[in-house]
Amino acid sequence: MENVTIIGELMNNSYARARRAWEARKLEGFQQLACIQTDLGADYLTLNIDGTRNLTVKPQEMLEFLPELVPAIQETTTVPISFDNPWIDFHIEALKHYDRSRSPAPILNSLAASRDRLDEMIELVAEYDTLVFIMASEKFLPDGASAQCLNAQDGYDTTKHFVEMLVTKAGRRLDQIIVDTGLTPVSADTYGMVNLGLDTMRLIQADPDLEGIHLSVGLSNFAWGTPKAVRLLLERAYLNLGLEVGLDFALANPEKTLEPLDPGHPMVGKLRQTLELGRIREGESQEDAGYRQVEGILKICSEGDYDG
Amino acid sequence: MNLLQSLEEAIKKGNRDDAVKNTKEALSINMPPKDILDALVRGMDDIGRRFKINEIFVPEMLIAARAMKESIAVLEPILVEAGIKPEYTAIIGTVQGDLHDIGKNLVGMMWKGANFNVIDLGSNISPEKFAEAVLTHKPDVVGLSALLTTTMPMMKNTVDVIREKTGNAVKIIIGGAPVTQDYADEIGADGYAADAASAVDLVRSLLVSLPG
Repeated sequence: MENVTIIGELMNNSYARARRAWEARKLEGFQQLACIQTDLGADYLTLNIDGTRNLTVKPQEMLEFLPELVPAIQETTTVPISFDNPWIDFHIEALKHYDRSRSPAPILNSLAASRDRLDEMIELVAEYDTLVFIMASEKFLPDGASAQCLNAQDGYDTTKHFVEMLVTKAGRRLDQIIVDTGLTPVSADTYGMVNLGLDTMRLIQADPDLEGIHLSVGLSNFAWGTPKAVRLLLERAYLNLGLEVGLDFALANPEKTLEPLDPGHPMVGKLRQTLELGRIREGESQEDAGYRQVEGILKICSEGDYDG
Repeated sequence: MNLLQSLEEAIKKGNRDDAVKNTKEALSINMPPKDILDALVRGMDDIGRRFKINEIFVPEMLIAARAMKESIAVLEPILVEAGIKPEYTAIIGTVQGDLHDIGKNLVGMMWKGANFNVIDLGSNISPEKFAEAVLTHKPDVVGLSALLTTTMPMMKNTVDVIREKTGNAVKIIIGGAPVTQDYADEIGADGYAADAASAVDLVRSLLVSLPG
């Protein structure tokens, strides 16, 4: 898609095709998913072989399969891989078997305030010269612990903190850093988190010292918990709003239409208005505002007429 | 439609104004508080049933749970006065190292809607804190949530610590995106729920046969 770099998400055990390939340890299954997404124009291919509610995956099983899996994917496509796991040992093994002579730099997804062995993950980024995802949805606490970001300033401060670490310790340029502001399912967003993510992007976009940094979301999360008929339109309308505040990456299913909607499409206006309903008004609680937003989403879901 | 049926309908529709109005009206004509409570729970049970078969979705569930909550706020003092206690006491939290809370919050809401007394410990909760809360609140059930594979092992630690410090009396159930029934069996949890509505049924099925 024009203006947005797509990280194809089909090699993820949440998808039945990926799950079948994983369960059979069938390299051809993964290769097929890599080819499909390459043909559809994905710019990166996520590799997430973690467990889901339908599948238990032991960490050791991932480590054992990566040495075969990574080269097999690279045999079929030169599109770089985005390695998606919170666990450092996964990345150590994955990067060890990634052939840089076949594909451009991979992505390490992701660094977050809550990660174990964060310093070592940053060293990996430097050692393997990767692009890197940082989670702006979790903040550092002074005692070394972490907590969820509850306002846009927290997300912005976390971004600055990570940028400082990645520039000084891993020699990254801003264009090698991708910020994930965290995209909460709008169906359950009584906490104003969707607005928080957009507001965080807005603050990052406005900072000239962060020019060139990338902004990303996991797009498929957005419409979780809504009827199937409305999901794609909600995702596309979110893209419209995201693009306005600098979104330029998305983790998404390239088999879907991943274009933003025509700016005049009614869904864009409806989503914008609904998210505005989620802003706290004087004298009310976040819960009041959050439920007003959920009522707005419910209205969108129940209106039907979802062509487009 | 009688008053209690109207109340049940108000919950199903998530109409909090009608739910509160009907609750107040039922109290004003001295309807037994247990009957009023049962109407609310029937409404939420229907929401859970329809959610599981994809007839309704998360927003409807949240709106209904809010209507239930507001009615309960009106009804609670009367229930206390009448000595009617919540059906069960439940503790819920996301395990240590994991900051995700959407799934945990949805389960907490559905449990409240089923008339459970819910103590939400929040996210990133250590095994020791879970165990302390069990000792303090003496719940019937503990719900552990995790979204990451890296934090799933903390579910086992938490189960172990709760068992070690508080014994086997409390039921422990688990849920979250990467969690499965196999994993629940493996770590010695008493059950696994795939979604918020199932978490209500699971607690009832685990506890209903126990001697009171």
